[in-house]
Amino acid sequence: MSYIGNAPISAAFLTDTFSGTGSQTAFTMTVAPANTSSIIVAVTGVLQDPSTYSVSGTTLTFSAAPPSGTSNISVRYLGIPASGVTTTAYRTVTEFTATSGQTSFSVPSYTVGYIDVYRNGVMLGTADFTATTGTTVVLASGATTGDLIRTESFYVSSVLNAIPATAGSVSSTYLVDASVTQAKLSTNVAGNGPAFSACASGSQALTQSTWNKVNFGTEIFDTNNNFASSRFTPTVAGYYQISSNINFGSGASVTDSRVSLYKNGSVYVSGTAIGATNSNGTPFTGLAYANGSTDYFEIYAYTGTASTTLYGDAGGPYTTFQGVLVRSA
Amino acid sequence: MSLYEKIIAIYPELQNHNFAFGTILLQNDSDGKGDYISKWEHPTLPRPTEEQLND
Repeated sequence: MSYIGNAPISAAFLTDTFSGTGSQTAFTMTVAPANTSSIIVAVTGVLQDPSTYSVSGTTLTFSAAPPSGTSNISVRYLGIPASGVTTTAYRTVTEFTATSGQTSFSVPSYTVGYIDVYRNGVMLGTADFTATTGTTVVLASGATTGDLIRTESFYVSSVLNAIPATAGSVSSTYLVDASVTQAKLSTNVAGNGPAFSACASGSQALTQSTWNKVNFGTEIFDTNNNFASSRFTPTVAGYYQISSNINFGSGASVTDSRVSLYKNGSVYVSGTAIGATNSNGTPFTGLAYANGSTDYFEIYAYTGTASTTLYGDAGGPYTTFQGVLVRSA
Repeated sequence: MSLYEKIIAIYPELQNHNFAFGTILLQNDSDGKGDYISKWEHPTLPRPTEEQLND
């Protein structure tokens, strides 16, 4: 088909279909029509007069239950009320019947410069009235009894602050802090806070009966660049799950081997001593809070045996230090 | 001789003391500065002096 101008856009009218039971009179529609005249209702193909049903919100109620049948009731919407639209009065008209000599009239709030004044149907010039308060209009000369004074004020709006309806254009700046709930997140969405994993790149001699800071010379990953010099200094405040595995020497016999998490240079969580000859890996895990700026964490190892050497290998995770943000502050 | 060994030499009665926790803690921050006493709160034995440790 040929057209002059743009081709018309067409779409089918929205239709709901219900199955009568012979006793059910109320049915729930997908949208709320404005009134009974906004829909066409047919039962078993027979058009129903609007007087035989009523609508309230999304509920369609028949005065008598339609007969039983599969999909024998159809509701076709002739128009769907606009949704999500806030109506605003862009023009406000106020009329007064003046008394003798009256000059001042109180009008609904207006924006100065956006109000017109009429006297008996004649629009007044700007020299004929004063409208500078936003709530009153004062005539330059007093009215005559019975004069019809009419004001028309205009709502001034701007679209400068409107959120653009463009995909990907709305930033989190427009969200109220802490307004996004867990329920609004999709499944399998994990946080992206700092996480790191490091391991000792070589062996390290320990001093007996002394807490020795463990050196972790190899970074396996460090998502937020918060790990350096064997120290984890997270820049995001929150609660961190920190774990470590210390290998006190393959096949060695070490008494009283321990691992502790140090926070800001002092012991924060101390691990449990492992038995006398169990030295092939002393695991440790703990939960710690970090302020996101100055707090830092280190791993210290303790041995009750002289000449103990931690085993480390840059190519293997034997002596490790790991951490991840599990809850923000 | 390590700091631990020096302390034991000064106070042989600490031979069975557990330095992993409690009143005396020794620490080494792996920064090249060596071992040091990070905590000394023993109820009867005074903290060794630098002179004693350096003998």
